[in-house]
Amino acid sequence: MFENNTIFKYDVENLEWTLPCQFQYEPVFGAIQNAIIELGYEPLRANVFGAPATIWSGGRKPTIYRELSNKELEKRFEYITSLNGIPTFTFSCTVVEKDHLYDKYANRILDVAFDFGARFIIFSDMLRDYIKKRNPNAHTVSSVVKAICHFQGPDRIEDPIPELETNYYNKLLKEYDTVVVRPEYSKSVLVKNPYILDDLSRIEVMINQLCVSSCVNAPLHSKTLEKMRVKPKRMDEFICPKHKMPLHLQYRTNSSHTTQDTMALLKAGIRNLKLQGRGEPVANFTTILALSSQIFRFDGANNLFVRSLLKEKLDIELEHFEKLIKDCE
Amino acid sequence: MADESIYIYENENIIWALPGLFQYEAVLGTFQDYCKMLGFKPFNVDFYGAPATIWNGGRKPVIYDKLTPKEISKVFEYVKSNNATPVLTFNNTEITNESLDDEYANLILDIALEYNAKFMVYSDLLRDYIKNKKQDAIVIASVIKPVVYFQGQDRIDEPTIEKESEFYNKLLKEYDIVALRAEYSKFALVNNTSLIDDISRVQVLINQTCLQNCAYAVEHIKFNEKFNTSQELNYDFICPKKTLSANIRYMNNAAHTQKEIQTLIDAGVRNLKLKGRGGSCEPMLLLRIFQTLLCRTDGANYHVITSYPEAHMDMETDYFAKFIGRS
Repeated sequence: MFENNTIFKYDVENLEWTLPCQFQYEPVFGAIQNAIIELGYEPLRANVFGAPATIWSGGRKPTIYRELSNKELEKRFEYITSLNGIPTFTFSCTVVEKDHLYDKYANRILDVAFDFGARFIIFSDMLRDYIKKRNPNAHTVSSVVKAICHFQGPDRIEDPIPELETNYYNKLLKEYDTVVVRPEYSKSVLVKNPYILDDLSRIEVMINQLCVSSCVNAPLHSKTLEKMRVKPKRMDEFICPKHKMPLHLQYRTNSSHTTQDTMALLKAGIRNLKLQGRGEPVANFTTILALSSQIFRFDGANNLFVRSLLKEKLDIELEHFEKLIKDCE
Repeated sequence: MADESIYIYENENIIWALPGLFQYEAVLGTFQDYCKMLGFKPFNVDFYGAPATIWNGGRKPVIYDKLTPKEISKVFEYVKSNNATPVLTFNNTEITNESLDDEYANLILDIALEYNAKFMVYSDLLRDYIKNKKQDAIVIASVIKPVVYFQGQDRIDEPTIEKESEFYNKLLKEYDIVALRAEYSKFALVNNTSLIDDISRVQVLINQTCLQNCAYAVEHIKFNEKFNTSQELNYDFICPKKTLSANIRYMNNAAHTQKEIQTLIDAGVRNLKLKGRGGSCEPMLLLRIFQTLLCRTDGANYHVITSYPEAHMDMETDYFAKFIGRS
């Protein structure tokens, strides 16, 4: 019998993946972890991010608008933690006001989340302080939206000059447990000179950003999505410029990292890699492959075995998870 | 910021043998269009397969209806318009003098020769027959030849490196291209590329996922051949792989890693092959296999792969059906 090489693209100790599956498509995460276990490997160390509709939510439009019971929250978190994941909340709304801090539902989620050692991706320093006050051990992550609003768009506070952006992240490293950098920065600056940041082990790099590089509309896009954080609303006032571009331009004007870029960062000491959420929040095979293509190698035997195993596991996890949630109703 | 090339292996002289002829031609068109849409040259492809004929080998055919000369020509035209050469899998292991006279097989052969098709062949008898019809027709020694020779209970010889190298070097004198067993290319050739006299004329199967040196391979091939004349049989072939757990199957096959393939390319290999898929394989899956084994999946690439949606495949399928006059 001959051994094939590892299934993972990046075979590095203590690597943590931040994956977009919480409150959206948890079975995708379950399928990935179960496939890995079945192939005889240790499951990923993963921060599984997302949030239901709350006044603090940011990032993507929520897929769950109904108020979740504590029982259901616990079941979802148990599912994630049983698979070596950490529930991670995208509480990255840019317009959190003082009143919002006392929102009943958001605080109820927080209470349950603390019990499961959850992490919190945050824009607002005020919300960070509030969470830390409630639980000094809570792990807070400075959202990439902070850096985007600071350096992109007509209302940007500073131009994204490497020196200024480096100072910005080094300052954030003193205030947050983990700091997510803009992919434009990690791809064009950090890959070439990683040691300009004070603590690479606490920096998170988004490796599959497909937006137009340094898009001037990015802050507006975030703010438009936020308007749907509590209630669904037609998003007719924002048109993503990428959607008008032919495929070959989309391919050439983004900041997604090649394997080589990512390896250079890992070699320098980065240990947190993030995959951005999907526009279509669907737990289907395309979604699982989009995430898996960044995690697994697709050469050798992997192409067939890993893919077919993922498909098999997805079907099982979808059924299992549906039953889990149904029992909460 | 520009991203890098879509190609995993940067070599313009590589010919990719891809499955789908007389099966899923639209996959070829969709795949090559995908490369062009991204602003890259399409791949050089040998597109292989065959409809049901008495000369067929390899996989069970998908097309049993007898095709008209016009339809056959149109299929070849379509393939060539997509930067590919049609390759007929005439690699049946039981060719006789009598079967050389088969009318339908000869019809396909004559049209194929006009389109400078290539021929994947097991039988030396059929090889000679084709060469008599057209001296410069390219004939490929099918991988079934070394599988029958070196595997299974009735094998003729043991697959030692020395004997197998000798086998292929002899075939290189008789065939234009010689397909190697994946076990040989992965475990022998990668470590010593000077084993083969003319490495530019061997063909390497890069995604073989059968059990290594499977004792049932020959039985499986013979089972598939029975489908040339009958769409259904009253017994089934149970692949031993299907009874094994995922991690055992994963560890026990001869699929090549990217590093191994690059080593072979650097040594001069110019013909790489993806194995065929059964008729039950969905076209989109075949497309994704082409995309993920020939194109990079890092950076923006995977998003681009999945942005190329099913709608394009549907359009290409409709176009192909109209093109050959079967819509």
